[in-house]
This record gives sequence, C-alpha cells and structure tokens, in this order.
Amino acid sequence: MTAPVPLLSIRDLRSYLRTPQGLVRAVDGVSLDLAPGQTLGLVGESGCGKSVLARSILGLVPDSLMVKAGGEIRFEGRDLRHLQEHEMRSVRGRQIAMIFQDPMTSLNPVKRVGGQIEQALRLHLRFTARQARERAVELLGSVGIPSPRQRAENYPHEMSGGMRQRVMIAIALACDPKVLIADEPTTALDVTVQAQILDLLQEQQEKRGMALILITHNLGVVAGMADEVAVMYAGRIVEHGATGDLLAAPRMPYTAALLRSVPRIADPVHSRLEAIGGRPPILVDPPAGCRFAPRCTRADEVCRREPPEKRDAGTGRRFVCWHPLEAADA
Amino acid sequence: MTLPAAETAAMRPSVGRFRLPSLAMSLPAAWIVLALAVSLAAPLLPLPDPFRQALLRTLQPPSWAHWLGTDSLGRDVLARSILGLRVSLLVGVGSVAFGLAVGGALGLVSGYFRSRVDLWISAAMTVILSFPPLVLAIAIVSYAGPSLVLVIVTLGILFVPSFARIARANTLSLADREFVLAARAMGMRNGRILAQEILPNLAAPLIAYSMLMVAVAVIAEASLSFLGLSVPPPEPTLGGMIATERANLLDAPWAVFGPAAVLFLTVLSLNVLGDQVQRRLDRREAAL
Amino acid sequence: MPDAALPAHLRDGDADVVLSVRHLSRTFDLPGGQRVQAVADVSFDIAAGETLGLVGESGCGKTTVGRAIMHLPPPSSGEVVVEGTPLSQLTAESLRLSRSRLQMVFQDPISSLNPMRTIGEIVAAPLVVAGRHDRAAREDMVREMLEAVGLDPAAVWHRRPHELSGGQCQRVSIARALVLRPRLLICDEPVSSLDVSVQAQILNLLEDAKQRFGLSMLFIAHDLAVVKNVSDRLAVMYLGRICEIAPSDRFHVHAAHPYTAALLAAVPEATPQPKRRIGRALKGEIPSPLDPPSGCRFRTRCPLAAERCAAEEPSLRPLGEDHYVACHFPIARTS
Repeated sequence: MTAPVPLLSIRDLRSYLRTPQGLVRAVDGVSLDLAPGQTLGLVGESGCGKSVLARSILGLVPDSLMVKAGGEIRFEGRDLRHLQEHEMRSVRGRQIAMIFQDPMTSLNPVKRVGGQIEQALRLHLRFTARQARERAVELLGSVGIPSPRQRAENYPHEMSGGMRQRVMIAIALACDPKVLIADEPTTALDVTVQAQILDLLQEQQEKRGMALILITHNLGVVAGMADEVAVMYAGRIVEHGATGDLLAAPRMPYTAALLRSVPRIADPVHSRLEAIGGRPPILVDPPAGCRFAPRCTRADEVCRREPPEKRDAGTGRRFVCWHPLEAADA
Repeated sequence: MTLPAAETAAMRPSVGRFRLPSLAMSLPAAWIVLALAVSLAAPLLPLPDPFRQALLRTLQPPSWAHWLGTDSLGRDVLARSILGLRVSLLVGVGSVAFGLAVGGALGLVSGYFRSRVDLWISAAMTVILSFPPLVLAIAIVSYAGPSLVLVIVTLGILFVPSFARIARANTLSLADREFVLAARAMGMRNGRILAQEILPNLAAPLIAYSMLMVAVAVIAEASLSFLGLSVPPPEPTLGGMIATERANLLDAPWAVFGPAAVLFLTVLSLNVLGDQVQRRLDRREAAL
Repeated sequence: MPDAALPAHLRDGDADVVLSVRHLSRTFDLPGGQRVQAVADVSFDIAAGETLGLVGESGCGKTTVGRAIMHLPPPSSGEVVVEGTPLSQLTAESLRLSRSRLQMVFQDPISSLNPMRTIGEIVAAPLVVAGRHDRAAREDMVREMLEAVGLDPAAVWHRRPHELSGGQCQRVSIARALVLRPRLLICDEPVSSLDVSVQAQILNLLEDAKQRFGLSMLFIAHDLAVVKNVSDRLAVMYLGRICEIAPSDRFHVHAAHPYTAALLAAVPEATPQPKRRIGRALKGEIPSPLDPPSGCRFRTRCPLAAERCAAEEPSLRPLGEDHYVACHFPIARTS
C-alpha cells in the first residue's frame, strides 16, 4: 500500500527564540507529516514548544524574537519558509488556518463578529460586501450558532466562551482551508462545551475533507479525534504513532508517565497518582543528553550524556529513547 | 531505580537580577545626582556671590570668572542658576512628597474599603481636579503672598488627585488578588492588611509615577516663577531668571540659556529616568 | 430558622460532623440594579476525615459556596455551622479568631502569595496573626510545615514567590493553610492552573496531608476525574443548586441526574477508542444566572425534560443509600 502524498511535510524544523533569560530552543528539530483529511494530535505540556511550532508553520513568530530558524515546511510542494511575506499572506487563512485558545483575546473586541468573518472573505476570496455578509451568516449557522443573522451583529463580549470559539472556527473555515491548526481550542472551555466544540471540529473536518492539527496538553482530547498522535517534550517529538496504538502501549517513558499521572473516572477513589517528579524543563539551557532524563525513572548515564536516536518500530510508530518500554510493559 | 531529584534542586533565577544600568539610565541619573549634590552644597562651593550686583559688568559673556556670564545686573548666571535649581528641586520633591503621602493614603483607603468612603473621596478629588491649576495658584499666592512653603503646598494639593487615582486603581486590583483574601482568611485585621499586604505592592508603581511627577512639578514651578508667583526676589528662580533676562535675549543669550538649559536637562533627566523605571517595573510585573 | 425542615441528606445530630451548611444562598447586586443569585439554597455537611467534592462548570456557584463558608463575605442567607457553632452568631472578633479552624487553598498559586514577601514570612503570617507563639516556636512550625509539603526550608525560606515554580508556590500555599492546623481545608480549584505533570504531585500531597493532619476537605473543581479521585462523596452543582450528591464511587456506576450523566459522558478519557460519534454532546449553553429557567434550571438542556420540570423545581430526594437527586425523572440504574 503506497502512503498518501503528505499535504504538509515538516522536516527538522527549528525555532530558536530570544528571551530575557537567554536563547530558548523552543522547537529543536521537529519532523511531521500530515496527509489530506487526516487529524494529527500534538500533545505536550506547557513550555514544550507546541505553540511555537504551530506559529512557526504559519510564520507568525515575530522576527524580533526569532534568532534562528531552520528546516523546511513543505505545503503542497512549496517550502513555506522560503516564501515572500506577500505569498505567505495568501497561504494564511486561505490554505492553512489557525484557531487559538482564548477566543476573547483572539477576536477583535471592538468589531462585530459578523464583520470579522466578512473581513476574511473579502480579503482572500474577493467577495463583495453583500456576498460576504450572506456567507458570514451562513457560516455562523453552520458552526451551530442559533439566530445567526442577529448574532452576526454581536460584539465578542456579548457572547459566551463557547460561542466565541464557534465564531473563531467560522472565521477559520470561511475560506475553506486545506489545513486547520487548532491550538488548545478547548482548554479554556467547560467540559460540556468542550465536547460540543470537538464535535463541531470533527463534523466540519469530515464535511470539508480538511486536515486538522489538534494541539493540546490533554491526551483524552486527542483520543477520540486524532488518527495519529505526536508527543512533544522540550522542543522535540519524543513519540509518534497511531492513536490507539500509542495510548494502549506507549514506548517512551514520558508518554507512559503522562498517561499514568492523569486521574481517570473509572479509577477507584483515592487511588494514588503516579506523579512525574521534578518539573518541565526550562529550555534556555537544555541538558546534554535526553531532555527527559532528569525526571525519568529509567534514566542512566547513557541517557544523560547522549541524546537518544530515533527508533522506528514500523507502521509509522516512532519514538526517541534509549530504554523504551517494551510493548508488553505498559 | 532511584527517584528523580527533588524539584527544589533547580530554582528559577530571580527576575530582578542586577544588570549594569544602560546608558539611558546612567546619564540622566548622573545629572540628577549632580544637580542634587550641587544644589545642596551650593553655599560651600567656590562660586561668585549670586546676589552681588556689579553694574559695571552687566551682560558679560561666559569667561573664566563667570562660567555662564553675567545678567543684566552683573550677577553671576551660574551661581544664580544653581540656587534657582535648588528652589526647583525643593518645590519638585516637596510637592510630590505631599501629593504622594496625602493622595496615596486617600487612594489606598478609597480602593480598599470602597462603598461610601470611596464615593466621598472620589468626589473630593473631582472637586480639586475641577480647579484650573494656574488660576488656583494665582488666587492663593495673591491672597497669601508668595513663599516657598506656600508654593510647595499649593502644588502638592493639586497633585493629590493624580496620586489618589493611581493608588486607588492599583489598590482595587490588589485587593482582589488571592493573597489578600488569604490574609483575611487567616484573620488578619484590615490595618495590618493595608500595611503589610497592600502597601508594599503599591510602592513600585507609585515610585515610578512620582519620578515623572517631579518633572511636572519642576516645570510648574518654573511657570509660576516666570509669572512672578513663586519665591519672591532676591531669591533666584529659574523661571524668574528667564523672565527678567528675556528682554536681553539677542544681546546676551547666555543669561536666558543658562537657566533654561539647567531646567531642560533636569526635566529631561527626570522624564527619562522615570520612564526607564516604569519600563523595568512593567517587565517585572509581566514576568510574574 | 432552626425549625425549618432540614434537607434529607444532612446527617444532623451526628457528633462527627465538622461542617454543616444549611440553605446557603448568595445574591450579588450588579451595577444597574439587577440581582444575581449565584448560589440558591445549598445544603450539605462534611464529617470528620471526609472529603466532599464539589463539581460543576463555570457559573454554577461552587467558588461562591467556598467563599461563603469562609464568610468572605458572609452568605446572603442560610447558616454555616462549624463544629457545632453557627458562624452567624459570632461577633466580628470571635469570627476572626475562629478562622484558624477553616482554611483555604486557592486556584492561582502565584497570585495567592504576596509578591513582596519571602516564603518564610508568608507561611509564618497566620501564626503571627494568631499571636499564640513566640518567634522560635513559629520558626519551628514553619520549618516543619515546609518539609511536610515537600520543600527544602533552607532553599526557599528567603525566596520570593516569583522565584518559585507554580507547583512550588502551591505547596507554599498549602503549607500556609495548614500551619494553624485547621479542621477543614477548602481547596478551590487547587490544581487547575498547574501543568499536568505537576497536578498529580499536588493531588498526592493533599491526600497525604489529609491523612497526616486529620483534615476534612471540601474540594472544589471543574474536572470531574480529579474531584472524583480525591473525594469520598461528590456533589454536582448546576446554576447555583446541587443536582446530585452521592458517594464518589457511585457516580461512575449510576449517575441519576441527566446533567451528571452528561458531564460524565463529556469527560475525555485517554484510552484507545473509536472516533467520537457526533451528536452525543449536551446541547445548548448554560442559561444566564440573571434569568434562570423556571422550575428545574437544567430543563432547557435536558433530554428528558417534561411539563412538570417547567412548573415545579425539584428538591433533593433520596434515591438509594446515601444517594440524593434533585430531579423529577432521575435516570434509573442499569444493572
């Protein structure tokens, strides 16, 4: 069976940022593939670099912060990193769209929500004002907002968190992009609203045949949504594989530890959680060897000295570890 | 397998690390220090007597004997500028101290207790703000006669509302923070909460603001003394010197530019320094 | 007030009860003259050594309940009884003195500590306020407490909060809350602001502290899995009222209130599973607390709503052993 041609192909992407504390290697050699219509889950805790990765794909990291960038981002054959700014602008929002965590700060507070959708339509698709208005109302309806014609006249602060997130999704989908990057889209929402929004993303994705990169710190969120999951730690992808496979039998100790440290509904009451000792690394001065070594219960001298190589376990399953868990262990 | 090292092993470094001050901070700071030192030590400096008139040597250009030349009555411009600067700094610091103490206290009380106290204090502040400052100054001085203390108090009163507003705004946001709630939850009395929990956190924004206000006060004093409403002659004031020597601007520019330059450099230094302090505070606040 | 009928689920007369909350209500006045009832007629109790979990989404009033119990500020109506003493009957001074029995841990670890004070001062502050110990004794107690929460006293004593991580700050917050040896600890979303890998550390710490210091706990959170794991009993809140209250292990097996069932179904589980089936999520949004629906507040989103639900507000009624539901048509248990 031949693998489908990837829509988005990232190779050895690097984004090093300048901060008051020093040079931060936020993204340090990330490689990913995304096929058309596929959902990729990108999971990691705060500070692992997943948000910088998302913004690097769209070239949204300000030049003043970026010290060094490297690698390639191939979208439909073109390397996005080598595009001129005006060419990149026609990709953003049109071919690759993005939604963010906090809809309150991502929407313009002094502009009506209908207008914000129309803006995208007129900019990229050259709609007339009337066409844009009609389409905006249509989009608001399709993302599940009741009375869309009235709602289009609302300001963001007049809407609830779930509604605002739907508006943001409507703006992102307005130009029918091929890829949607969702950066922690449900983290700030209540759990029942989260379920609605995840349903919406799945529905839209299936309807439009769109690829989706779902970024989150919550492994449960990707469990029912993603075809493949990439686990990120300290700027690198440490494990990658089909979702069910990875959740059932993680090979990299960090993934396993992450799964064990989160309480489950089915657990007996007062079960002891297996906490991961220490705290997430500060990326200013990364340790020499494996970046997870300081917190890993299986780490030894080799781990601390040498960064581990990528291992391929076949069928798209990859992990980066000197002492991986055996498939039977987890 | 041993457990990973305790997380106390790696502490986040203190954000307030000492860094060498930039040029933007050291130059203005140097001027301010110089200005303060010189004006405090003025009587001890080997300068010509600022009050001694020499009617045969009026409007002399700068020379070794008189570094900034002489004015229309033959008095040494440099010595008079230094004394004038002293008045400006006294008024500047004094009035801001007054505004800070009174306004800060009112804003603190207003922001913490809210309800009726807040209403009354805010009303009082609005009344003061409604007075056109210059008219008020003229009225007070005309009624009571000009003096250093009166100028300081008048400007101080005019500054109270701005300080009250800043103190109140900061107190409002601080009082909502959870550490204040925790203080009340452990049974701390209001007085202690104000002193230990709120006030230390107010210090930073108020100090930054004060520096900028001293600059405003110095300009205000210069305006008042230009109009003859500040300390009366023979005490030299920067504004007064500019006013008196204005007529001779073309013949003896040094007599005007001397005090003007001193005024300009002082206000510039205060503004730049105040701005730098404000920025550092904003950065520290953002890092929290 | 003492003669009004007590809700069935209160274990009154039980000498073991540390906290008893009866008919608690809290109304806020908004600018513009409107009033919002954030909490309406909430009653529950907590026995010695027990943890009650209070779970609900935004706007349900759970944080307001926590603050009202602490009388910060006091509730609009209802009674809070701590170890037999109704708080409303205390003078301001004795209320202040009784604060040592009830302490609270807050959500945001960094903002719950005064940025201008050192860790040593922060943890010692409750002792200073209580005024019962001299300096040497205070230092010993602070040192002991810092060790109990997993911090090295020598390393953190003179540091300021911004020099510590979120997890460490939360430990300090817990140390401060426990230094007066309270009977009841109210935890208001104590792990929501922390990284996933740090959450487990703090949850384990809270469980350990509870055992070591003989605490009772009120654990308030929106994450059902977290709350359920830590609590002996669980109360679910919606729009200011309690919908269901039962032992924690009962919930997984039998969620009787439709809202509880919807909450459970919505929790994402990190287990291998087929792709989500669209359409099972709870519809609609939380109504505005300014204008709650008549009768049962959940009826606008409830798949089982009927006419009776609009007309009559359900009250908490017993369903099984120690299991109470406020619903006209509770979901039956499937064996």
